[in-house]
Amino acid sequence: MNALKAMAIALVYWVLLIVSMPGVSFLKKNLLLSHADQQRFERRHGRIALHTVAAAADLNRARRPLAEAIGGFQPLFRVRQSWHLYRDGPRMIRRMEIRVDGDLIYRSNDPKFSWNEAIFRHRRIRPMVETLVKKPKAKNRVGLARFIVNHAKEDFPGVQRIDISSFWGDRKGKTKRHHRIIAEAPNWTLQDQK
Amino acid sequence: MNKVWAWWMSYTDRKMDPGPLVAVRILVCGAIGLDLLRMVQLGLFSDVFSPFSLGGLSLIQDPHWVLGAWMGESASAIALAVTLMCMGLAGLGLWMRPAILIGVLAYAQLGHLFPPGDRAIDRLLRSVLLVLMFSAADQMWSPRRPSSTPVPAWPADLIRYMVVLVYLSAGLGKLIQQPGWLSLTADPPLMRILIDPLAGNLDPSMWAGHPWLFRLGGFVTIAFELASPLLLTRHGPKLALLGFVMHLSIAFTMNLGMFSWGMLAIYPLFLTPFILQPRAQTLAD
Repeated sequence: MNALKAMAIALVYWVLLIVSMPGVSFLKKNLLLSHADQQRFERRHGRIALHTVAAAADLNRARRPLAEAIGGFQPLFRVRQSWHLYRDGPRMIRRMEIRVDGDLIYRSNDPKFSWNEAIFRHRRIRPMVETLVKKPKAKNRVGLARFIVNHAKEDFPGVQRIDISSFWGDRKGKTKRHHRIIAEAPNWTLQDQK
Repeated sequence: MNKVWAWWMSYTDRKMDPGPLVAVRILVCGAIGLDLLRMVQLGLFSDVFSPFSLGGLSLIQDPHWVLGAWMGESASAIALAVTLMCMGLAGLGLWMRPAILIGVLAYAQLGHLFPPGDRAIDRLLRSVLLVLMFSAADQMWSPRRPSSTPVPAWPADLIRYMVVLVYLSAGLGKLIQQPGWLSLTADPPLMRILIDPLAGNLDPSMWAGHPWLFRLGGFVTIAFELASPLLLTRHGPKLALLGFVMHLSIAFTMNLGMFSWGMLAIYPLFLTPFILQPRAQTLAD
């Protein structure tokens, strides 16, 4: 019985290692597959780096089909063992700004303009704010913009125009509008603008 | 080979004080429950956990979101209620195993319904709960089984191993994809992260003039994450103190919600000698 238990636990350790494989799992499938890619990599980083990264890429190509086969339980419990945590932050300072009839009511991490700050910085909403600020055509921008418009209409009765802007700038505070979404009474259709 | 196998047999057969596992059970269930209740308190439930066609925020749902097809519009409310009830029961140590199984399934459904908001910490805590399901974490501080006799240690070891895989992945990912983490001259990535107004709490105009502070913080972060396999050794508790401080720092310098508290909820397994009785060490010998 103890031997069975020991084997089962060893199997779980092995499965977790194969499905997560630190440092290897995020490598691209075709990394250093062609001879031309390998030569280019060697010219830039040297022979030792080439052999190390090529070995990791080969290991990943061998691991992937195995991980797919044994990792089928993950979606059921939504426990995908892939841990790509914070690796870097944005080079530019990017903020979301919301204006109601021209008056600023919200600016990311600015205590003076903090309308619904707890919501926009909530961990479940923040990723949507991030993509809205980063990409003019973010797929989920419509849902978030609709949410902002509905709540602003409730909190500021009689409002005629709501402006959701993405500002990019340097660390000294110089910023420039990158893109925005506007909604106006009476139909409140969301319009993307540069 | 025989020696290795004999060592593995004895390693997986060890016993430990149930205290650390029980603390993790209570803290993890508490973290998940409070995180969901905070969302309800902010009035976000119907926006977050509704499909786009019903007024929800996200256009994207995971194909494994199946409750909606079975239960219609009330599916998300049912999933939330079941998750909260199960976290409560598991946290109290009542019907722990079925409560964890059903609770994790319901919580996973909420994640499938709103994928942008289901983060790494949610996946990690669900994984931890699934391991706890096979443990005797309901052995203590539970109305049904008020005993503190030693329990199998392998679930605690497995959770520690999972967390080490997380740290190691994070460390290697940082180093390979952003060499600036080790640079003495490049813009420190840690600074970029902490002064980002969308997630960080630090004022860019005030802190950007102190890159060395962040460079040092970045070196310590990388050193901790790459050294994380030591968490599985007898030196683990000392290294875990550094991890504890790191997560506390993240809690105050960033706005990541449950992330820091969820990670710290697992730390009783690493900090056992400091915060619980030393007798939590293995008793097999």
